[in-house]
Amino acid sequence: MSISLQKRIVLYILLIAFAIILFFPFAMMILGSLQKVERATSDPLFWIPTDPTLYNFDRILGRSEFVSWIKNSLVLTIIPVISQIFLCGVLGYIFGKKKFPGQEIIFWTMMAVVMVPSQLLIIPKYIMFSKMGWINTYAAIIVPELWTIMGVFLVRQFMMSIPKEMEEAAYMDGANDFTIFFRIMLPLAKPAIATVGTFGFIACWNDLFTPLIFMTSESMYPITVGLASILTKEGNFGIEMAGSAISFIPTFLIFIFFQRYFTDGIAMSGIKS
Amino acid sequence: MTKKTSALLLTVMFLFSVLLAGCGGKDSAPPAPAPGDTNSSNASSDGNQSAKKLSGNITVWVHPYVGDELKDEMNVVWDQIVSSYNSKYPDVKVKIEEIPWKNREQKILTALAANNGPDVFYQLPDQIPQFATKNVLEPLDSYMDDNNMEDFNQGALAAGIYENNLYALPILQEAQTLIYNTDIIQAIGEDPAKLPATWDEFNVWAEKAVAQGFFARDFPGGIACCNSTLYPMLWQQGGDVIDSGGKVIINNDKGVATFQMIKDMYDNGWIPKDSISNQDQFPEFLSGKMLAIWGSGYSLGILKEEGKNFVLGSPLRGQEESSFGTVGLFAVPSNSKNKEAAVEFIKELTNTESQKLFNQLTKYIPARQSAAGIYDGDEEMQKFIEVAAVSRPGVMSPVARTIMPKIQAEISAMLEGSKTPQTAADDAAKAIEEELNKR
Repeated sequence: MSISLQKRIVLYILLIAFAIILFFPFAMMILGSLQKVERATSDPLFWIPTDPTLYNFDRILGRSEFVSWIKNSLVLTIIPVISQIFLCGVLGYIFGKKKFPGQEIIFWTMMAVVMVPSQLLIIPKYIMFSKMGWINTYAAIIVPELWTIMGVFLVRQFMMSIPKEMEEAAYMDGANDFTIFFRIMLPLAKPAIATVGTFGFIACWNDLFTPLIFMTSESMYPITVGLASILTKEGNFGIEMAGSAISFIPTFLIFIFFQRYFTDGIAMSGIKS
Repeated sequence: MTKKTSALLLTVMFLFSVLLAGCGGKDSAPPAPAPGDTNSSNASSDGNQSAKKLSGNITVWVHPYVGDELKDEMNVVWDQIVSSYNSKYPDVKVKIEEIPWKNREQKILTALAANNGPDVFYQLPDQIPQFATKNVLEPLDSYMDDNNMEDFNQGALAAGIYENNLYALPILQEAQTLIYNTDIIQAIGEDPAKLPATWDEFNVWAEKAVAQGFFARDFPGGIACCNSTLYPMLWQQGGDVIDSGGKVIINNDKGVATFQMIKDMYDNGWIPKDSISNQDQFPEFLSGKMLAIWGSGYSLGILKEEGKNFVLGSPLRGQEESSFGTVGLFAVPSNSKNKEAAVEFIKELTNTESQKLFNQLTKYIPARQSAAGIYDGDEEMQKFIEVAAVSRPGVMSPVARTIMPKIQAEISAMLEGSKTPQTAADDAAKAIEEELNKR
């Protein structure tokens, strides 16, 4: 069914308007980061630089701890993401394709844990990690993120959509469970796995609260906490915008590279065979 | 398992998690010190701390009090304070850790609840009752015999006192007052050298300003009420939120008169129409649309940066002259493993020399009179020091923070016209009483 020219024009105008609205905060972040201004002023367009400067970036990048903040962010993100990809893949396959006693009870009990607010768990976690000597170490952030329930759910749903016959055919050809998982299921589940990885990356990279609670020395801060530690009580518009721009880059790149899988994974995880 | 069973299981787990959440809050206070703890306050009540040999480690949690560009200078200040402390107690190792402002309360409470918090940490006045009632803070009275307490500004010191116990020592004060736009003063034919001292005098100026199309002042009602909005006006009218006996008096005749005053200002266009929700009306003042703004030293800095013509006024007097000014204090948690050394450190941190070093860099008002000399010759800071003398640190109650949004909701309802000032004040009183009764 073709759309008439008028409808198409209206649609495009609406889409362009919507794109401008969505692009506005992004433009504010980039342009604001090039302006040496601490707070909003009388001019509503104060964030458009009249005299562009890299002062804010210089203040952040010039910090002696900046390299360690980036390094910490990478460690606290890459290890959980790799682990999540593997463990969520395995668990998603097991819960999606295998049958064993208590399978549903275990799965839905796990799902119910998602409903416990994370803030509620922070004190018990702190007490436990404190006794284990994990405060101000990578372990306190990495270990709880090694796999995620939502990741397992996403992969399980995707696995359920893969026809049973494929698995049966592989069995007929003499493949064992490991071969089926690594050679057939994992490649087929690429969109779901990529989505888990992308979600995991964004969540770990942008996490402020958990490292803020568990890290106590500046040298152990990831970039999110490091940037927050630069700000006074009143904040600083320019520094905040430059900080956001810097920490946005890796998330943006990940999204660009995995965008196709990302949308496929979300769309297909709901399809049943 | 059927879908029905799965749904039932999920519901049960959800209810269980809600139950857990309900139980969590009350048990989050750290355990009380063990009776045999030799570091407890009872073991150190002779007051002659300098004669004692202290040792061990203490961790001090501070915050970014200055911008990043002054960080090195701030580190020098901390080093000087630690070095002075170590000259008296060379066997105590002090570790200063800078904690971001963001989510600071959660971080402190989590660490203290896990018995793994700092030995010294920074507090704001309305947190003192909240923490003290949960036995999180070490009472300091018994350690203060050798500390010159009269030298503290008594308003600042009062911020660290709850139910007659001293829980924290002040290092800084902030004061808020009215700042006027000089150009508008001249436009309405008044003299910037003769600023209003009373509400009656201000009202005359306000009417003239509004007649010429300006707003009289700000009322950022969207901000987490009420330290910079309702409270100073209420105190200036002789009212209060809760009296010294714990009775809620926000809806007495003075309280209702204050609510009425705010309503009149709104209806007459003295404050902007977005005062119900706006969190910051400073841009209105900066753009020359407002006669006066309620501000602090921080506002002054921006005005200077922007090259605006302004003049610093007084907090207005109704039945009394009063203002809000926060106080920064240092406290010792009751589960500190090295209490005596920690208390000695906050005494060092808040002595005259340290206050001079700290406040000279951070541009706050020292909480000791003997340190106020750092601003000799600076007229503006002298004015803030004067205002600080009549400033209050907010409502000193464990419910101070939880009642603010409830009061704000009543003011909003009054401004948009669904409640009268009397009803709004009565409902605010009821909400405060409910919060107090929960405890």
